Amino acid sequence: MRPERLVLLAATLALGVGCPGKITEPSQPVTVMELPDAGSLARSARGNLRFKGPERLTNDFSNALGLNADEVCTELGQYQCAGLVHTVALGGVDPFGRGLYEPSGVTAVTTPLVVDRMAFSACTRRVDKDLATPGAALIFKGLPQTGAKLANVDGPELTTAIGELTHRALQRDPYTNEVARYLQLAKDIEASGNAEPARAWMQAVCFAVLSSAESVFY
Amino acid sequence: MALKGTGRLSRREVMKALSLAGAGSTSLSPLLAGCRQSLQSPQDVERGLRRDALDGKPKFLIVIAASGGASIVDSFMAVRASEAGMNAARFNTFPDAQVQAVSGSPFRAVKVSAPKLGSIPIAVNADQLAFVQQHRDDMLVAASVGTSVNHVIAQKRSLNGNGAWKGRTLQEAVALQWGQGFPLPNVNMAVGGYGERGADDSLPASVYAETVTSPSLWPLGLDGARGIRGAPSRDVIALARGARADLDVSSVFGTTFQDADALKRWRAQVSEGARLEAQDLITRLNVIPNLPPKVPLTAYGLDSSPDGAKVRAAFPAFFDDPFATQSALAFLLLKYRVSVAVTIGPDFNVTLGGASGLANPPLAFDFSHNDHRATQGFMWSRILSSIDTLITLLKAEPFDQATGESLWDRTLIYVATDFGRTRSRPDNAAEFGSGHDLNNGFLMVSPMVKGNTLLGGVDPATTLTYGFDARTGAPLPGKVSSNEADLYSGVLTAMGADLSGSGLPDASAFKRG
Repeated sequence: MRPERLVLLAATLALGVGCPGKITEPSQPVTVMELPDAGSLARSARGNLRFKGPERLTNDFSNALGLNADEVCTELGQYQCAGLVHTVALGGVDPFGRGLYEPSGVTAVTTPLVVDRMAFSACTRRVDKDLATPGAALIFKGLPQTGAKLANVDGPELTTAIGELTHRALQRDPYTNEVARYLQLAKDIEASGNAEPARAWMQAVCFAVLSSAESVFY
Repeated sequence: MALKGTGRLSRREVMKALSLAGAGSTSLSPLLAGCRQSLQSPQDVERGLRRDALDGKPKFLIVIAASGGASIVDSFMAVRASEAGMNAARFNTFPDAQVQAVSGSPFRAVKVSAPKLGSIPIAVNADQLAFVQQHRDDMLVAASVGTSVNHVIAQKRSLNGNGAWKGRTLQEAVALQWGQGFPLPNVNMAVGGYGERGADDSLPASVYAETVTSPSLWPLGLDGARGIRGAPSRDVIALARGARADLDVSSVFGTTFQDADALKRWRAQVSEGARLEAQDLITRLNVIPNLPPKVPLTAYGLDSSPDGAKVRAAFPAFFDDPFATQSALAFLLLKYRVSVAVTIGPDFNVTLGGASGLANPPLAFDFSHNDHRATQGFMWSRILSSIDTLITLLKAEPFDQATGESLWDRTLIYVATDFGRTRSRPDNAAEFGSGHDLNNGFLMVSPMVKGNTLLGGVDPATTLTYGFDARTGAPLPGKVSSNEADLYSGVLTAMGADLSGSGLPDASAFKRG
């Protein structure tokens, strides 16, 4: 059975949306795809997945969130995460320092934590920018708020933001289960008593997409 | 069972007694060794996973990688000119006064004074006597012959005994033996071949080393969000990770690649990461203090280790000298039971700092190509100083209140090095360059080694070392064949590792008691 596709919103075609990063093309229409039945999906026989490594991750996060590469993540505000501090944890090399000429080829125990740091750092920066200048927001735009809360945690604006994020980070439309889970996330955050649930949701959903296995492997 | 008229057992009775003893030991051994061992699978035994039968408590290995070739005849096996006879002038012998005897010990201690270090205008004044006097009872020096004079290959072989046990490194063997349940059993901060993974792919992923290139900032990567300005609260982080976990499993990507090794490993590592965060290692292992503007910890909601002041006082060069920071971090990794195997060592880069203005010469020990004697003196001082400080810290750290053991009682420090150095020199030259040589020796320091012991010896006429019987310790003058497996086995034997199925040589001579 062909997956049912629901077109929810038209694209925002304005070119001057304030994106300072490398991707400047207009947003694509957000479509939500129905998740295929797991039984209908073929398992990869070879399963030859590769971790993206420091350079690809930085570039992909940078492009996805419209940030300059050096804005993605710094430790203590000044030491580049992927390029200096955590290069080897992200599968990179250190030829001049430790004489490490070849990448290990496998992820380390600390790799997921470093990916989380990079994702939180980049997402926090993106959310700050989108909230500071709503008119020029890149991803989280047009989200009605009541005070620090999202005005409607089931609203189509949230689905649009999820779609925009998925487009930019994963180069595809979101599936129905993803939209449903991220909308549930908004409700969970609001129920947690967080003082700024709107901001927290934006950070959280951005983090979840950017640090997902699909985002960090290829 | 009756005795013969001679008072001896008959042959048949001897056989019967032996078979009874054998049967008895077979049935009782699981009880004697503990139920846990009897439950271990043959695969575990084959991999060497069997635990210490006596106490089950961890032991710790610190490998100090003396990069570039630390020469044993420029330290504990030095040769006096008067002993070398007619060869004294052309081989690497010292004026008699520079080779100090240590009372009641087979070790020697070299005193070197040089006005400069190669072309670097700093004075070198090194004296090993205090170290040997202080630690001789925990020191074991074993003569060695390697199989490579290529830096990276020789470095690796100093850690895997040239493939002595399926290619696994000493650190991996120790992590396998005692590191199960430790957050990061094997942490490696060393260079080149010392930092390479072993060749035994059958081991659990957790025993392969976590590579650390920036010991001062690496702990920041032990938490997924702390220190990220503006990051959401922990409860929101938990909710976000929960959503991610759900979708990672149910997504098209997750379903398609559910059998991929990389993804299985990733999911296991994500779970492990949560354990690391829970132990607050981002704080506990943080050597550096709050020093804005270069290190604004407080501004980012971070803090230094509760032991920060102590390790910084012990290693005051921590801010400039990576080897000092590594040494401090090594102590913290052991103290907080994060690791059982830690590898540190100076690298090949110049490091400025310290009293002379130079903390590390270019190429570390390999600067001996330019100026052998001063380099060896300078670098041995650097290594011994770190060992001395680590021992002081470890001795002061209780391990088991019930037994009164300190952390040092269960730690072995192994000074791995690439190879030795060539012995020839222009007649009587005090400043000369040396090349790489297979012939050398290794230093181990631990309460677990047979202390105050020199295995093998040195031929004063050539200044080359000769071997020994690894089981009995008897010197074997003239033996100059490779003994990499003996040394590898010696480290593990001294630590009391279970070597079942390893095929390693008996190296009882290394073990205390």
